[in-house]
Amino acid sequence: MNTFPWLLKREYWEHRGGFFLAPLWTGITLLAFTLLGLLAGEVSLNVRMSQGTVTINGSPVSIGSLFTHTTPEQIQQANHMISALLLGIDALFGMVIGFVLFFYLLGALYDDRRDRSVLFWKSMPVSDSATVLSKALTAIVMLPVLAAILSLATWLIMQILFSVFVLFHGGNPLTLIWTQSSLFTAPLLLAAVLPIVMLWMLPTAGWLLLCSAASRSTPFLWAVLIPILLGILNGWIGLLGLPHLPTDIMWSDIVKRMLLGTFGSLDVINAMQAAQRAGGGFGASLLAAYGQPATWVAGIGGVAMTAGATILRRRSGDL
Amino acid sequence: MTTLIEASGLRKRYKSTEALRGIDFNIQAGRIVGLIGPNGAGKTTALKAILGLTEFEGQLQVLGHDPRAGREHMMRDVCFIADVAVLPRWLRVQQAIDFVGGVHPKFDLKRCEAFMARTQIPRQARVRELSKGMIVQLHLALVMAIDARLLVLDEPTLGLDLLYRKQFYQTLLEDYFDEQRTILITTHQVEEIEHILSDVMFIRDGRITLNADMESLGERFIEVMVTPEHDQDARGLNPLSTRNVFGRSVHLFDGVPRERLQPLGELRRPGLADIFVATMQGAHA
Repeated sequence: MNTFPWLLKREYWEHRGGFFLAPLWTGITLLAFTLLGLLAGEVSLNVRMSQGTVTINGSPVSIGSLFTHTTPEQIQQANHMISALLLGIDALFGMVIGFVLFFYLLGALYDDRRDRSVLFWKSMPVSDSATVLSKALTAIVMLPVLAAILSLATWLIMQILFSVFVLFHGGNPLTLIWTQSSLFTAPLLLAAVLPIVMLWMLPTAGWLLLCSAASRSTPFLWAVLIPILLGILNGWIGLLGLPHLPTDIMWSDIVKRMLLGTFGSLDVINAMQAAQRAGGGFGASLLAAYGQPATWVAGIGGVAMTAGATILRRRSGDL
Repeated sequence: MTTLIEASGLRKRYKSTEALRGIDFNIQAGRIVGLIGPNGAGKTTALKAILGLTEFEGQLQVLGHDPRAGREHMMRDVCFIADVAVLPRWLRVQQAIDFVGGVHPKFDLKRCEAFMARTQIPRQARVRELSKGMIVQLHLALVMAIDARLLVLDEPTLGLDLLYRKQFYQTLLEDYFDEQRTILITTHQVEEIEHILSDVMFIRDGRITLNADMESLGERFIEVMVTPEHDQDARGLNPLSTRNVFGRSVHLFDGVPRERLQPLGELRRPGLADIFVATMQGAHA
């Protein structure tokens, strides 16, 4: 009997608001603003057209032929815009999901102990490792995938809105949007960064699950204070001239990875864009993101902390 | 008769106190066992050890498993209701049924539906919207639909009104219990479970002070409403406790032969609560 899907379903039932409704409303809000923006543009264009003052590249245009004469450079620009837009949307979803995941993980092994419902879950023939694994997988795999899918959907709907706009103004959405290469490469980029987003999340997920399983109260305080105090302590030891970790490594590779890994998609995309701007191709920037040894070490640490949370979970019925 | 639970030298220490001081007991299949003791006597600790919810020292076998290891296998044959408040408050009724059906190999949906049909519980409601009585009805419907061999109930009716409490035990006895199943139950409301128990264990200060089936309990403990002229004789037989009812003294004897008590007055079978109170005297002192 395969019980694991039910454990994932259980997580969704409990956190439907954060997992589904929050990203959904993010998408709807984005689309609403896009529509408002297009309408505002339309109105202001009409006002200025009636005054006969709109020119493109020095030549006056009519409202019906805004997109009629597109140069190859402009098409190239549109291509960049399409891909940048997807990354921007994904960053926004990543931010929303990042907050949702942070608090989800903190409560995952704590909330049911607080309200004693852990005794109900523990009355089922489900192992503690399956329980912890279902929560870790929900955070590390299910939510980033869901965020990516919602990003893609929002982005596609936006392209449709743009197409209508272009069509109204004498352009050809096929050449301007739907045959652009970025329409295909941008989703690929998103898919390619997904595994690294998950990898970056491991240490934070492990740490938050560990705090969630260990705390008797206020898991948030422990989760946030311990890494920050460690960072400060390390710096202080350094000031005394005693052996310590380099402070930048301490903060960026330990403290940050313990606390901000749920916001990984923002970091990864920033890093890759920087690498691409620096002249590296898509593949090179991807390799740079995957190739950091610290990422892998932190990932292993995250797995170890998740295992620690599983051991603590065994005792969680002893309220 | 098969032994479901075997405990020997069961011991549990919390930081400052010793909750179980090395207890031994066996529980046989097909029995309804009441584990009864004052607050803090170790009842809940004993149940937690049996359910694999806490670490302990000593030997304990539940259905052939060590509850500390392979707990998820043991839990296929063991159900428990800890108390009224443990169903997750955010869970919807239908979700609870779906979930248990999804993860429990011995869950029978038809049985569950039959129990649910007798209640007024709305399917789409969340647990937090239900009354305490409905929550316990739901929990019972879930648990009774599971073909388990051992059912553990820890104060299952705490905070319920009289009607729900009566209904709870009645349903349990009529629709659930049979010779294949075993029920282990703790409660403070001794009078309510007295008539359904087949065995009783008293626990005090982490020790088992009495472990008997109800029949032998009736032979061992005898209450005598003594006529005034025999009062001195009765006191000479060292009664466990003495109280006065309408000017006559009632003595409770432990292990005094019936023949010796017969001449002293009117013999009665004492209630479990009377035996409990008599044997636990000074427990909270």
